[in-house]
Amino acid sequence: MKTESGYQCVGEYVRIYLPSEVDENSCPQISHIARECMKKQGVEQLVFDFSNTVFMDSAGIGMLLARYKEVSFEKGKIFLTGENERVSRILKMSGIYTIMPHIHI
Amino acid sequence: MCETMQLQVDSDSRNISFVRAVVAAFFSRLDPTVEELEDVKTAVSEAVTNAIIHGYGNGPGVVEIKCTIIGKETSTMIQDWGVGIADVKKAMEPLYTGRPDLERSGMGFSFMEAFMDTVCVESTPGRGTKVILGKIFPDVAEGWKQAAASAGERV
Ligand SMILES: Nc1ncnc2c1ncn2[C@@H]1O[C@H](COP(=O)(O)OP(=O)(O)O)[C@@H](O)[C@H]1O
Ligand SMILES: [Mg+2]
Repeated sequence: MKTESGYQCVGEYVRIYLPSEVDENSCPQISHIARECMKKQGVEQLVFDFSNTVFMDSAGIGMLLARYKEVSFEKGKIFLTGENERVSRILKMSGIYTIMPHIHI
Repeated sequence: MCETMQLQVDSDSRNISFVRAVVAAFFSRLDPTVEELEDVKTAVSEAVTNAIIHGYGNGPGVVEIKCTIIGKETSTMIQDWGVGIADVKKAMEPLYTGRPDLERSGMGFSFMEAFMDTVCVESTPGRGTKVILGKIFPDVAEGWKQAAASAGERV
């Protein structure tokens, strides 16, 4: 059941793979990984990949907003991909799509 | 008739997913839709997270969960004996967070309200917080019977 988060550089994007449950327990590790990859790879285009994610609550929104502040400070961009219907609903309710658009890659 | 379930867990973020899974499993006997169960899971997750990170400041403590089913009505109480909330109205405002130093969105109470039929918060500073989440799972079978009956009337 446990899916680890990690990242990978694909072309001009850095893709961050999110775990099956994005909540208060998993968010510190995701923040850590995102920061590490920003340090190593630069921060031009960050893609959060929800392909493995079946649950997310407001802790995930807080984590994404914190990344947005860091990334836009460096003039970078964040995109979201692979969201299922439920995750997409949570993201829509939070209004976060206006600053992090969905992309299909 | 009233059915109940009670659970006590340590203030530990690993217990958040455990609690939401147990609560969902308990209510699944009402044959809710997947969406209804996800709604309850999200709301419970928010309340338990708050108990751990705000109530106990991520430190030790006990979180108690009590679920009740009466007919189609469910209620889930999440209680902590932590710091409590001085101004509940302000705490429940969308985007308000008492911990801007953490990576919080301030959307926890808004999600609880969006996904549940009722959200009731009782809190005393220095003594703790009780959140009671209510949701009615409309009986799908009843809905079909009514639809069939009214369709029959029309014929
Ligand atoms: N169980 C609790 N004990 C103490 N304070 C709480 C509790 N639940 C909520 N709060 C307060 O209400 C605020 C708003 O909660 P919420 O809407 O979940 O946003 P967030 O958790 O992102 O801060 C919290 O920041 C905190 O100050
Ligand atoms: Mg919260």
